[in-house]
Amino acid sequence: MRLGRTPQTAEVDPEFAQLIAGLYYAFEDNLERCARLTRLYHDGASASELREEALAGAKRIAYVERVTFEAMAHVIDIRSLPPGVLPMGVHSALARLAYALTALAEADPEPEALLSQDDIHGLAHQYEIEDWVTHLREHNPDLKAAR
Amino acid sequence: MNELRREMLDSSDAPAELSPDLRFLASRQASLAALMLDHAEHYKVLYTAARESGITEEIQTAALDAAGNLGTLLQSLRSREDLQIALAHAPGYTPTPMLAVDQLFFSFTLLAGVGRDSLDQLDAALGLEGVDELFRSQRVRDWLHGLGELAPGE
Repeated sequence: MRLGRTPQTAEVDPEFAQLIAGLYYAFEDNLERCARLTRLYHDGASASELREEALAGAKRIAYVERVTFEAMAHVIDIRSLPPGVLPMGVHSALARLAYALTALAEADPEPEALLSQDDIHGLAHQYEIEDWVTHLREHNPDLKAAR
Repeated sequence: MNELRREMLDSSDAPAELSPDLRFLASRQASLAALMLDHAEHYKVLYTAARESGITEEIQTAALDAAGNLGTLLQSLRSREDLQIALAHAPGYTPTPMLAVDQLFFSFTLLAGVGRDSLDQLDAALGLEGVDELFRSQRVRDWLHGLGELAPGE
């Protein structure tokens, strides 16, 4: 996918489909990471123990979200995407994980920037992306087998 | 909590006649608008320094702090997205352009986490023109005008 190319739909652009898969993996991986690191933080883990992994998770979300934003702004006509392919709530849920992970990478995180365990596990429901998550999970045999 | 974040999260200067929910929203939106304007310039300085002289610990520390500032306000606002949805069609109300502000947050995060010997990872972050483009977006301009952060015609 190149900026400036003729707009394509996700159905005919496998590279955009890869981006959507990247968003999904970033969500799955960082949901677990954020829950685990938040638990460690509340159990008294030091900032130095959490920083590297928290920042790596936040950076991964940042990367895939930035690439997707630029694709949606310049390459893909998002109005032409089939319903449910990329719900807007995905971006909100990923952003909230990234805010929390960035906070966990800091020495003195602001409590309002963190997510509770209930918040984390409720993200898919809150942002109405349960069907999206379930669909992509079912299309990944490795993940399906691992659960 | 650092002094800046304490001020950002203080709602005491919001109009007293508003309900607690609206005071919260007005205060957070005003803080975010001011922070976005300030941090956009801050980002340009850090990004330029990283591109010209390479990533340093000072740049990464400053970028993480800035990402933390934005993330704190964005998390707080997103925790009450129900309020923004309820007000979406209210006269005179301009929703916070969360996706646009997120781009600045994500770019600071990339700057904070980029490897010292892999500056190409910064290619996904906003460049200087990308930051200016955010502020040319009608949605961002309307929001900043609505909060009094841009003069009419600016």
